[in-house]
Amino acid sequence: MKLGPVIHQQIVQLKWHVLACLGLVMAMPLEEAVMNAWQGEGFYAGRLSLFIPIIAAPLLAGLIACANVQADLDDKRYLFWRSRPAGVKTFMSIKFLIGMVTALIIIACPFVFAFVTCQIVQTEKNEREFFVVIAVFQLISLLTYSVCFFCNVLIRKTARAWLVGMAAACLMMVLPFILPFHFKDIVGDVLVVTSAVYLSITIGSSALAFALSLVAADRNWHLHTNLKGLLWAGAAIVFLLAMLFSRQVANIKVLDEIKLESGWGWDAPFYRIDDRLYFHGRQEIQTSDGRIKVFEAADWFKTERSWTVNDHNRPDHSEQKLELRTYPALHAIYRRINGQLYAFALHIYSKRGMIEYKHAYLRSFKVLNDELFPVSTLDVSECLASEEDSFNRFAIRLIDDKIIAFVGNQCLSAAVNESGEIELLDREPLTRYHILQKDRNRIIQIPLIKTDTIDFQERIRFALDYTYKPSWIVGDSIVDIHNNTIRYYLVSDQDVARYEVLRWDDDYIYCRFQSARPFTFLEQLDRGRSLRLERYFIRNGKLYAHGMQKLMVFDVRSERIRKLGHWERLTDNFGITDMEVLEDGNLVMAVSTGWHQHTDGVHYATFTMYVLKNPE
Amino acid sequence: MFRQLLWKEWRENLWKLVFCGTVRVAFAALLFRIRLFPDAANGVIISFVQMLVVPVVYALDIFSGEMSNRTIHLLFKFPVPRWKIFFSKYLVCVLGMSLVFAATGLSMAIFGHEREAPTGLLVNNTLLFGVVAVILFTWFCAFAVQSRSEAGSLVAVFGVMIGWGIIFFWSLVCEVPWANHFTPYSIFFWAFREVPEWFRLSSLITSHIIALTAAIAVACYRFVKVRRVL
Amino acid sequence: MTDTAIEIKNLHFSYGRRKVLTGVNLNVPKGSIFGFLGRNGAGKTTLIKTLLGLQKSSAGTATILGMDCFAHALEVRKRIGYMAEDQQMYGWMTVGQIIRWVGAFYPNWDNAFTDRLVDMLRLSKQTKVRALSKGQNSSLALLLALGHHPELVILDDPTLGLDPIARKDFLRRVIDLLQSNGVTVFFSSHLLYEIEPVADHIAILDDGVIRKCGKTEMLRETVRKFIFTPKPEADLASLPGLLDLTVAGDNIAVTLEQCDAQTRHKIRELSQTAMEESALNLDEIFEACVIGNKTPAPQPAG
Repeated sequence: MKLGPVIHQQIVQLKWHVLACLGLVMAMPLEEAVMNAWQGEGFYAGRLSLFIPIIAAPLLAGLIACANVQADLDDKRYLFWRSRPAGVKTFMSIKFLIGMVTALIIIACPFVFAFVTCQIVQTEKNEREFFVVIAVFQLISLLTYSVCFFCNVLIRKTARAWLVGMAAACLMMVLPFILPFHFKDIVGDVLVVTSAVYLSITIGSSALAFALSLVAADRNWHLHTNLKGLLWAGAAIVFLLAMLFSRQVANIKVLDEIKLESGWGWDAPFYRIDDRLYFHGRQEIQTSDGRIKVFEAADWFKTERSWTVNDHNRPDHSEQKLELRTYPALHAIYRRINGQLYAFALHIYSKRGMIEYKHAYLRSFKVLNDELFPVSTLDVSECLASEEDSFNRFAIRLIDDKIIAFVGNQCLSAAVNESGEIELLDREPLTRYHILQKDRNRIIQIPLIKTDTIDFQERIRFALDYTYKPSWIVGDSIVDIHNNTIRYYLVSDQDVARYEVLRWDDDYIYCRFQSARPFTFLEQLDRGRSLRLERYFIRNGKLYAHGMQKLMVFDVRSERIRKLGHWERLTDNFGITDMEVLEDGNLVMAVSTGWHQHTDGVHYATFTMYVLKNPE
Repeated sequence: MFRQLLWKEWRENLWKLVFCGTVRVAFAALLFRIRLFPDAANGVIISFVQMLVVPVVYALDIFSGEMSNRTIHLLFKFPVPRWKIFFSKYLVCVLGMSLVFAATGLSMAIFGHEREAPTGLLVNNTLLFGVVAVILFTWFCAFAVQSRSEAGSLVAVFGVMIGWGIIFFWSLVCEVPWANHFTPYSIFFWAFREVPEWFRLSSLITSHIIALTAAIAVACYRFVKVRRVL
Repeated sequence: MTDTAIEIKNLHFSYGRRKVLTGVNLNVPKGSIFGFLGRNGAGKTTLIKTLLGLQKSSAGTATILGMDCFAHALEVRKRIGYMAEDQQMYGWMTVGQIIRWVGAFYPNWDNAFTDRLVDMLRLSKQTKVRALSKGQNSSLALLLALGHHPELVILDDPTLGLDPIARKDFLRRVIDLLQSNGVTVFFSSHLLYEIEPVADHIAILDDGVIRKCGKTEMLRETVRKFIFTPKPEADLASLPGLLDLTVAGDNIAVTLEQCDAQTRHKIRELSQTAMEESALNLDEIFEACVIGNKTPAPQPAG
């Protein structure tokens, strides 16, 4: 068969659709150019008006495909050209290629126009971006074109084929996120979606669609008459896939939520005191069966802040104008001993506005009748480093009935007796630790604290926590001790890394990187936003990590680190202030959601408190 | 007689209602379940996608389908004025779309019950975007009413979308607020508001009623005058 | 009340610049079966669409049952039945549904009658329209055209695409159903043998004008063919009502309309020898009217 006349016929046949599509994609850029010229900036189209062609391009490519097929494959015409000695595959290939080239040229037109006019007027130089955008949309359009082409060969009704084709193409674009159907986290290990994967998906499925359309045209596959069945089947598949897809992206289920207001500002952490949970220094949170209730906190708790803050007004220190720092910050450590609630804290006094430490005390208090009474004070001021040697470290943690504290350059160990009094047990100098090396192939050396009053596991835990997360030392740990193996976990922008403690001696712990669970494409999509996972800790074999707009939970005890669930919010007006794990594994998460002005003109921070289902 | 015309259109377009309704409710369920966005934003996303997709599905083959099947000949030889035929099609589609929107609005009200966004906001957004969808649909009809092929009506539909985009863009850049009020896309200025201020709302309603009436008139006139299909 | 069912006076119609009807004049008497002949593309369907008020003529008038076709299109459509060539119907409806649906458009729809017709035409009310064969499809279209007892039935190439047996079957039914009721039938076709046995009036449309119109019997009697050898000086173009002229050696054959004694006398004058006279069938009349007209009259040899 002579190709010339066939090609000519194909081009002439497509003429009107091509012109119409060209008009549609060029309308906005032309308009912008005219308006720019009108306003005296020169005749050029910038980025703004390319928005419409970008969205419309894949849709129009599909339309050209459908119009192209329908012109020769509607019932009577199909018979007409099949009754001639024309090779079906050659004919369809020519058809496909001509349509494709035309579609891609049309789609490129507005970009080329914008590029050329920008070059001439010499404004908005964005060459690299320009080429990336054009390449990406050519690819997506190629996909929609091929899929619609195939759909119309099968369906032979333009509108329906177009709808089905678009739906199918959309599905292919989200396929990488859905593919590992059977298990929601395998994606983390086997498929880190990159542009290469997308490239292969678009080109692969386009080629497949093309091959299938040749076969379908050759064998005259034709979904006759009405397509109710097909549509229902398609809808069912889409629904099913969407549900599967939603498992990948769905947030952890919310069991309950409640709105709160506070005049205390943004910084709103939880406090766990004994077995009770307090929020923001004001409210007591109670949860049962996933429901949340908020009460006014007891008076002693509300005044506790003022107690610590006002302490420096004591005559002896206020005269010297000393400033008080408390460890832990804001609130003390609480422990119930023989039915009586005690509070413990490390108080450091320094010259106001200077890093010059004067006094250090370990103190304990008794909670009685909604008030706090001092029980004992242990003066540990001699641990503070001299002014020349500025090596000062401060930390405190209560382990069983022992207090382990870093004061200055010493590691203290103190016992808490049954009446809440503190007795010093021993004192060892702290090892100055090195800068941590980042090379994952080498063994990491971490200084071990020297005290015999607690068991070695807790010593290691304290050392590791202090090395990596000194600011969260009071309650949080990044160490998981299970079946006599000690591992710790670090969360970075790229992955969750697992390190194993190999051995230890009197001075150092030796650790090695073991494995990592990289974040997937979807999990990394928002890296540009304020979604870094700043805080993370291990509780009951699970790693909880959260940033301002994202919370993730991982199972770390299994062979491979698995994601159990996440909570993520893609808006600015949303900041996770704190979270806490409840006894039943459910989570409480506090989120600040903005400001609210009352009628009296006072601004209140608004919070939403969520109870999230235990991710398993 | 008109009832019978409505019956026929209803039967022919029933699949669209069921299809769009199911897909929309499923989409709403999905977004409200995964909670990637705040509920108020979910509401706008759902309503917006719906505003663009549902009228396209309805407008694609409502006229061109009958013309390419040649069943329009049967309709035209009945002793019924053509405007009645037009309105039977138009009204059934508007009714179908309203039901789809009602289903979406209801499902959002249920899914978002006692959550972040007030139910009123979600329902209001569905309503506003629904009205715009009807206006867009009418313009689609006005331009697609004489196309003989479905591809032609698709081109017309895109043409309307982009045409309004051009007017919207122009009215924004050149600061012509009255023109901007007439474009269906001006609805974006009204999203996220539970109760828009009365004055601006009234001007919006007036301009949209004018736009809708004009669209109906153009569509009906073009349908009555359709000649080349014969 | 007038005696004509359809009356067309000097009707013109054009699609843009292309003129399709150029001054059509036609009278269809009431109660007749009117055969409307024309080649493909002669303008038959255009004329029918004008009659149905689907399009407005550019000049001239067309009235049906005393009403203007375009001005009173709805009233006209209520009183006539129309069956199009290759009628497309809604495939998803069942026969019963489409009958009920179409019935809604006519105030005097007769359900009992259509039920009888369904039985007679051997249709099943439960069948979907898309499952019908071509013959059944035509039967259904006929039924839908007759359900409201129209005073005039317009059949536009109703048998298009049917096989000969189905076609005969169909025509027999049409005659059975209609003739007894005194209904006027306007029957358009390009198949002459189809019309010949049934039509009592005939019009031939060609190139936008009516070439011939009259009672079938009259046509058969008055259109005659003469074969003779003309005298050398004979002016054949002066023959009245000349439709066709062919030359075969010395002999020529002329077809003349409205032959009477005078015509025969004139031919005898022109002829050298004795002339042969023969009657024509409808096929030949049509051919003479349509083709003969286009070829310029050849001058006889010598």
